[in-house]
Amino acid sequence: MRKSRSQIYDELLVIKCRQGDKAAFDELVGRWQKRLWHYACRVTGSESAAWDVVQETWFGIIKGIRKLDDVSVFPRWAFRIVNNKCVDWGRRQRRQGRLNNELTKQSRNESDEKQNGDEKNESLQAAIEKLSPERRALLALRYSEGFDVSQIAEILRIPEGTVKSRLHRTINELRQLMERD
Amino acid sequence: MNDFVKRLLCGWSGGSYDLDKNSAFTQDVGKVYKKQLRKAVIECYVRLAFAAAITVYGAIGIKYNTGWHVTWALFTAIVGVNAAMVIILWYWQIQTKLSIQKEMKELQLQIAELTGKNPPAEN
Repeated sequence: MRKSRSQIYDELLVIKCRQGDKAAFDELVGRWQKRLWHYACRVTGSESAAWDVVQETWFGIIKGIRKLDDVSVFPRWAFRIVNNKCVDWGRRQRRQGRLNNELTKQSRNESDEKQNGDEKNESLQAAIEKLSPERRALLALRYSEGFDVSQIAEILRIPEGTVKSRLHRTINELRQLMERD
Repeated sequence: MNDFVKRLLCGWSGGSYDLDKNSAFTQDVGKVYKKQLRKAVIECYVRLAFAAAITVYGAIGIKYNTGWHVTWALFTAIVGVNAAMVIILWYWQIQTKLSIQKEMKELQLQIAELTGKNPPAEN
């Protein structure tokens, strides 16, 4: 598989980070921060939670980057960390007794004020909010981040068959939710 | 169905990204990286100092002791020297490997820029 220039540049930055180059690390954060944040925001459904999750993710990356021998796996590795942090966040929320739906509704109301989407998008947003964070993660990895099934399996550490069946189920669930609305 | 979902998900809002918060965030994360880096360097020097201390202890033991104490001192000195060597070699090996990897990536990037195409795949 041929790599794009952007991928090679990311790999170069990871190598420089492993060597202790602070400027390279700042650049890596600049290149990946937004993408990781949007993913965290989609999974958690909260902008403030996304900042916390992404901060924890970068701390995890800093700790683990020295041990990352194969630099080409950096994107999947980073998404695995952010996904794990999102799962931890979800667990903490459940432990604190807060309802996830309340948070997502609250954050969605905030973003609704900022943007005017068309009706189709609104019904989609509403349907997605009703999905569990695990299902949202699956959808975000597949359709927003563009990972293929094998890469998602690697990120979520589940078999490829499970990814396919869960994706199929999630899409059906989403369709049913949209039809109901 | 997949295309339908894909099209719909293009409109899936990922939140509005706060650029002001981003710069402060990048600085904070950068500080943590720097701190972690310093910690790693200190750890390496502590290990090296420990190995050197064992070597010195062994060397002194060889000079002033007799009998089985000399054997013990010799053993300690050998362990100390070897530990120091391992630490230095490990550091050198990692740095060399990273330097080669870095040069290879820079070369790949140059090829891509010169030809205007994506570089060949790695084996």
